[in-house]
Amino acid sequence: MSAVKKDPSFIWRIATLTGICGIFFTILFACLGLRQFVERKEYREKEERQTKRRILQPAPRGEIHDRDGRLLVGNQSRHSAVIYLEQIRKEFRSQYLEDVRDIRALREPIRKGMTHAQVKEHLGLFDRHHEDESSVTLTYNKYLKVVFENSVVARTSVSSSDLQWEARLKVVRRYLEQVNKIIGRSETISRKKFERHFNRKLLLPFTLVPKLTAEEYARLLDQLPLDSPVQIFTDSTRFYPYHSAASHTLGYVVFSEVDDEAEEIEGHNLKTFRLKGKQGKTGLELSFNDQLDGTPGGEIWRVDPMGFQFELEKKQLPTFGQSMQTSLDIDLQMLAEEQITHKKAAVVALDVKTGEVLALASKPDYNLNDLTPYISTKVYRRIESEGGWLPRATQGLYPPGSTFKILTTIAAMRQGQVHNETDFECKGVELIGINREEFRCHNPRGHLAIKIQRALALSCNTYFYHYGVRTGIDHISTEARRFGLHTSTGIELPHETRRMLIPDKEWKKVRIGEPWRPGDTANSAIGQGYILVTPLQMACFTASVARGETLTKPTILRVPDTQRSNINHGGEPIGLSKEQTQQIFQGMEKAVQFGTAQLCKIPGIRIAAKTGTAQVKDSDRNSPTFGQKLTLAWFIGFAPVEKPSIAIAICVEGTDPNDNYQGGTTAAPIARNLFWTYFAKKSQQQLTQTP
Amino acid sequence: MLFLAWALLPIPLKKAVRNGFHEFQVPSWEALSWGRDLQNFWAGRANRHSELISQGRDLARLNGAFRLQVMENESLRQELQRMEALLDLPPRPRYRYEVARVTHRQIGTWWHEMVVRKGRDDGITEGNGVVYAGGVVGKVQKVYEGTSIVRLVTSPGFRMPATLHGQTQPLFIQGLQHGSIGKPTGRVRNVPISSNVTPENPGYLVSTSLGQVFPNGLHIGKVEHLEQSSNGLFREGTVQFPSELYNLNEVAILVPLPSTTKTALKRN
Repeated sequence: MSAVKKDPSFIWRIATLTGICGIFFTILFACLGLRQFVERKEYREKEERQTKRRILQPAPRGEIHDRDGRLLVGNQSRHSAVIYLEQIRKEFRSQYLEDVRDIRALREPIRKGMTHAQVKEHLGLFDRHHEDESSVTLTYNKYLKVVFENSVVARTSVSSSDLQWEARLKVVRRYLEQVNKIIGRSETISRKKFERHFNRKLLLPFTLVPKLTAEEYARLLDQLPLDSPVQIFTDSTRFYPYHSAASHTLGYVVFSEVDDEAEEIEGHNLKTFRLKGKQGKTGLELSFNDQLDGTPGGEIWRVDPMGFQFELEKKQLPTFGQSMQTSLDIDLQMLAEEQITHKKAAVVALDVKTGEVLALASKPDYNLNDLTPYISTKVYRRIESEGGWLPRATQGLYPPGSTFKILTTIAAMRQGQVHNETDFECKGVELIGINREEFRCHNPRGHLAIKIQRALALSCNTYFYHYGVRTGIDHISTEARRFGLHTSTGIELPHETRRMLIPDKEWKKVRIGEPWRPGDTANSAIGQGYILVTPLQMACFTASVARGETLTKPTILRVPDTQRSNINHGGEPIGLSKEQTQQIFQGMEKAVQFGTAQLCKIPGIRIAAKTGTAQVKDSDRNSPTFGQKLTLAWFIGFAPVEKPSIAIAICVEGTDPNDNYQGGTTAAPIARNLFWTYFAKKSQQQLTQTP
Repeated sequence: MLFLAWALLPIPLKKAVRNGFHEFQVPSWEALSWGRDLQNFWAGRANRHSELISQGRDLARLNGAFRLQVMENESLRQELQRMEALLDLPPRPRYRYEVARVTHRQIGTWWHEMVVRKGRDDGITEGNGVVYAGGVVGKVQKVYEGTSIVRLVTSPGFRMPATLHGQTQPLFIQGLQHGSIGKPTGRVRNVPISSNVTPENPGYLVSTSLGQVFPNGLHIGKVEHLEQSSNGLFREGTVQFPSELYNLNEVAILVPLPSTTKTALKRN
């Protein structure tokens, strides 16, 4: 031993070995340090990605109320029977083992070299048959494959994967059977659906029976054991207590995935499972989607190597979306819709002062409850065939007919063409232009000597042909633009049309390639020809006239009481003298007293109105009346004249050439009922507010 | 060693041992129960004649009042049947009331149960509802030949659908863990968001026939405060159950009459 100690080469070798070991260990520890300290974050992330899963839960959406706080859109619970797969893993395994035992027992007597007849004797008839060039494969009892070569058994095989799926499905189907027995349904599940869920959403419960009724829900609560893997899962759907009321305005929601970008929920790098949320598709649901949508909640789970839940690491509850209050008065809205049921029509009622939309009705429409939780093809097609998807109040474009005469009057007065005492002789026809083209009045015998007030009250066409041409299209179109009729109103609803049209000489030259003729001006003066506006625009125009301004910015949101007196619509004074304004108002009031709008008369309330009956060619190629002339019944009006508070615009479309729709007889009675309800409610509110 | 032997015992054998143990215990519980009844009988006999006469008179008055109420109920029942026939409503579940004496109670942290002196021989089956004069008691958990184990509504493992008095939307009640001392409480969940209760104006929870175990309107408990649930869709709160649930001597088991068990679910 001492000799070994003294051997210098040995000591040198030991030292060298120690040095080498030392270097290796230093490298090892350095690498370990690198992994543990420097690259810690990277490995931590990798580990988390591998072992953690995130579940995002949608938040309940905020509610929508009318101006008096009544619920227009809410949430209602929807129950479904689900199974938590991680709780039945053991059953999956034992079922699989049982199936393997069965299939082995089945396979046991099959030997190489057996003929088909001998195999048949043991296994009976085969389920499937597959043949290729050298062999024939027969499948028995679903999964046992027997391969025959030269008419004798060459080998047998079983697909382990198939067996595993079948075992899982058997277990799930057993639980489904239990649920079916309790609630009396006969639901089934397909392997495809189950496999898809298992592969993609293993962490989420698998739905056995969707949309449970209250009775089924109660039965399951009563009869399912508390610790059963089958449980009742509750989520929410939109609920519309007034069914189809204001459907276009409120809009509907569609399924969407929970927003992954939500910063409040950590774990962006983790594999994420999302429960279905909702997203606004149309109407207010779309415009105010961000506000109505709450903050989603989330869970972070540690999972086992198979991907089943192991331990809940973090949980964040979803928070409710913000609710909103609209300016709609649901009583007025429902009345407006009731008045135009079975018609193609639009009704708009505005608060003159604030521009708040009190009613925004379009028919045909749809029952919002039919569109939740999803729109079936059948429902979609029905609404499509009825023409119910179009919100006519904001997207329907129509020539305004005689209601446009108010604007022609304003333009003519501002150009000094029409005075209070201007006399005109209506002979029932007006000759326009160099060619002396005949333009007829709706009264063939003529209105004889007529002034502006009577011309408005009786809607004399020749009066407005005459003074419209004298005023000129340039001034009329400029005036229309000043009132904002050439552009969308900017209401907080999506997809408001921008295709409205106020024609002028330049437009006709560019678009049609023809010069402007005096006849075009005459047509424009009475709201015919190329002019196209929406009912909402005409309601805004009416409110503007009532207020003596050029613009009204409509809003679907309730204006807080503190801001009601400071509304700036962004317009300017019309630029008429008080007398001129009175002439127009009196003309409109006389239309109600003895003129075309008599059917909207309400004793005790001074209403100013103008009716119109326009003609259009049906441009719908799918319509049986394509290319034929249809009538449009218009009404615009406001009340009370002394202090206007409500403005109404109505447009009813004729659907058949034989429809005898007229502004005075079709639209005016609808307006009467709206005015009556509005003022009755207002006086009732005043009574209740009076101490 | 004993635990290991028990753990290694096959399940059917374990079950047999457990059942055998229960059946073995039953005579002693029954004997105790009979003994209590006898004790009450002799305590009753010790009363003075004048007291008995006075109590008998009170009882006769009560009987008279109840007889009138029974007649009124019968008339209302017929009226109800007539209306249901007019509206073509599906038949409501009907039950036979099997009155049973309570022989034994097990009120622990994990479960609240009682053993009653009626079993398979009397047509009792597992899952039957159990009630008393003050409302719901629980459900039959296990049935033996002459006895049954009833799990109380206060038990942590118990869940049942219910409604708030005056409402129709089903919610559910679940017992909470607590010892044998203190007021029995539970949790009510899935209460509609519009429901509002206060200690001055509490909400009374009643049974619903939707689950087909109990008839409508039997008192379960009361809730004085509701808070928003974690998913924001509902409200939930703590239920206070009647404290006499732990002192009952007699209950009635609801045995569904055969015709009603076949009632098909009316799908919405």
